[in-house]
Amino acid sequence: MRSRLLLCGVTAGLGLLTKATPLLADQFHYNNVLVGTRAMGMGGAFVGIADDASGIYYNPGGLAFALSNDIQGSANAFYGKNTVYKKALGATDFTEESSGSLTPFFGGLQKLDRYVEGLVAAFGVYYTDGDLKDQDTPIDRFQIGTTVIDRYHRTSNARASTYFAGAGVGYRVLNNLGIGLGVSYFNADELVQEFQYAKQSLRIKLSDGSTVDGWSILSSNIRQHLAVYGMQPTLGVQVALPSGFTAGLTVKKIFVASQSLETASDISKTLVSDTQNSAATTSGPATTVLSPIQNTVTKQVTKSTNPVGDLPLEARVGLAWFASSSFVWSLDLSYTDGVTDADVKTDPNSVRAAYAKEAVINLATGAEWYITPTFPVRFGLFTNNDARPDVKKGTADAASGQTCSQSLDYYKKYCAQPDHIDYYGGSLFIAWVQPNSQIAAGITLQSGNGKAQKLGDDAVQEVKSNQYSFAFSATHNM
Amino acid sequence: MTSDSHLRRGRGRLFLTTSLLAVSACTIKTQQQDPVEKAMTPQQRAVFEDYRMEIEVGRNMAGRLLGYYGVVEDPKLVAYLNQIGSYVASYGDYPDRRYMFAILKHESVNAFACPGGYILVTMGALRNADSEAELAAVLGHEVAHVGKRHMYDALKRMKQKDIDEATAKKRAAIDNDPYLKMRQRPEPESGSAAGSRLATYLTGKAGVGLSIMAAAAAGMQMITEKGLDKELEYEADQEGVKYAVRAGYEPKAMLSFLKRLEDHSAKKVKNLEKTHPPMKERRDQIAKLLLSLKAEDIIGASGEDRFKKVKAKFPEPEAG
Repeated sequence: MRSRLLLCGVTAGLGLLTKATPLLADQFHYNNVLVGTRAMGMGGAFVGIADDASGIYYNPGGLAFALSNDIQGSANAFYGKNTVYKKALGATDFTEESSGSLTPFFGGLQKLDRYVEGLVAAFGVYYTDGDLKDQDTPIDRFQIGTTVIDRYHRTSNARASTYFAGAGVGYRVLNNLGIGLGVSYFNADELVQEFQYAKQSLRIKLSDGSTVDGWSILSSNIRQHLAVYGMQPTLGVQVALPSGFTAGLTVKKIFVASQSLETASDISKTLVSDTQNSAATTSGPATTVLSPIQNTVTKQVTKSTNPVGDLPLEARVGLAWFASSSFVWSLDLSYTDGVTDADVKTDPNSVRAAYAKEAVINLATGAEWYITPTFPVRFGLFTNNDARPDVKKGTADAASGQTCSQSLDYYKKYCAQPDHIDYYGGSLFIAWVQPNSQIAAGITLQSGNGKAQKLGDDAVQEVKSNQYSFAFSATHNM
Repeated sequence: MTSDSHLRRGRGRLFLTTSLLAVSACTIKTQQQDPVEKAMTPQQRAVFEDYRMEIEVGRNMAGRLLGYYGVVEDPKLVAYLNQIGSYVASYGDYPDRRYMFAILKHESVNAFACPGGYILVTMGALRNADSEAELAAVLGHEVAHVGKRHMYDALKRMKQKDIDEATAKKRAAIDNDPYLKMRQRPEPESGSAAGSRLATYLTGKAGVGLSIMAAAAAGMQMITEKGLDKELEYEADQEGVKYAVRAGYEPKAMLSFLKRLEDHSAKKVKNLEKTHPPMKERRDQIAKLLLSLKAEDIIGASGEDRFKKVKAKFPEPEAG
């Protein structure tokens, strides 16, 4: 979740403010939530394995090699995310925080050998992203450059989720070759409501050339709701190679059926003078009169029916090595296409430009090691790279009008760029296996670095972000 | 600080490590504190656990049947069925057992006696009856299955053998397939007592080697495909008639019910014929019993008038 702070508007022109607050859920990282009991522990490297119900997500071709029927559910007991924008407020850092819980995966698998030899069916409901935010941030008196902000206050509430519900089948066309197809319903839904208030003391120049003390007060109230629905077919193939190796390939793409983005914003800027009525009355001392001398309110209600446009195609290749019954190692490489549809190309300032994505490559590797037959440990490493473009530093040139407050083009290109944060993650889970079941618990950590423009001026902040989730799961084999 | 307090503190930390284990631990603690269970001798506990297992298996099976067929929710009709069923059961050999009767939304003629006392009768079976006495005899048949634990005992008999066979078959299938064998993970060790207990609560595994879900699945196969041994069916027929006669119903009701089935379309009795002996043989067996009944034991009410009033209010059959 990212929003631009309102502060630049205190000193910048009001005209820019309406464009200064695009609020986006994190649809630009593809490994925010790891799915599946075993896969979760192995850093999400599961394309070469995929022989349980989570195969509908990783590789339906792997379903064909399932050993038994199973039903499994996993839940994040708790997750949290903390993103620090270094020195975003002068010398002060600004932190975005969110936390909550969600269910990464619930699914089941049924072998259908009695009907068709080598046929396996599975179903699953799984979340690949989720966020819940309830943040109140009041900050008193800080300085950005030469500007002193007396008071800044933001309340930010957001809920966002991306989930799939679907089914798949796997079939062994050859003894060592499985193919599979999955089809999932897709829904991404995010609602953001944010109020911001900023107050700055300043001297106001009046039309007669005189100056008075006063304040600039900015407030904004924004509600934004994004809803995207679609279907995702997933094709997968898995082949068993000599020496205990397997290889897999999965291709999936979400076909959007409907999408909408509703935005309602109410932004006001008020300049207030502090004039002293020196004429004492007979009934009491002198009083202070506040005289608004300029008050500008911008209200907007917009609805876009095609804000996200196309969604990218994803291809994953995986390799697994079943070294022994006690040790399995897996490696996945994924490529997620970029979104460069016509709107983004021709109008980089359109709403959809905020959702533009670059091609991303991610890597994951993990292992499962049975310390004893009852207690396997799973661990993995993975990347979670950002699909948004790198943040570029502009060179303001006031003389030619190339500054954030003077040039809209410059502002959009160098002052309102989306964050770019690349993550590295690790997972560690331990399971307890009984003859027909197992429970597993563990933790997934992600740490990211990147850049952002939190204020909407041409300053670029370093960003440090950490995510963690405690998860547990249960599987029953039948 | 003593080593004991260190231990306690360590245990406390472990207790708080995961909410899942904490909840499970609380559940176990609650179970252990039950004063009735605590007072049981080992023999009593074994019997208690066996009956609890029977109920769990039966409940699971009944849930599957209700989910598959759907349930008739007419409260008056269901109450009537329970009234007749409980009345007949009270004259059976196991009146202290608990029985629950429900109606499946299906027009085939069938009735299911799940372990633990869950008795499910199809709407088609109710329609096939012409009198309360016939319904009572059918319910008596199912009550006898439950009371004599026909299915549960059969499941227990088959459990170790069949589970061993199934496990061996599954293992052989995997062992003979090199691409599955390489995915085989270690066989889990047999757990500790506490571990077994926890597994019972987490996974439904009850007793040694038999899980509720596996037993229910085997029971479903038995109840819908294989059927019980025909000797057990004959016994249930005879016992059911006995209970109904003791309750005051006319003795030949089951004969007329079965005779009518023979005249039905094959579709309506297809499943019944698959899981039960032929109607003719069943009638012969019941006839043998009737010959042995004493006249003074027979009241012989048919309950025809009351049943017709109830039948007039049956829901309309669904198309197809």
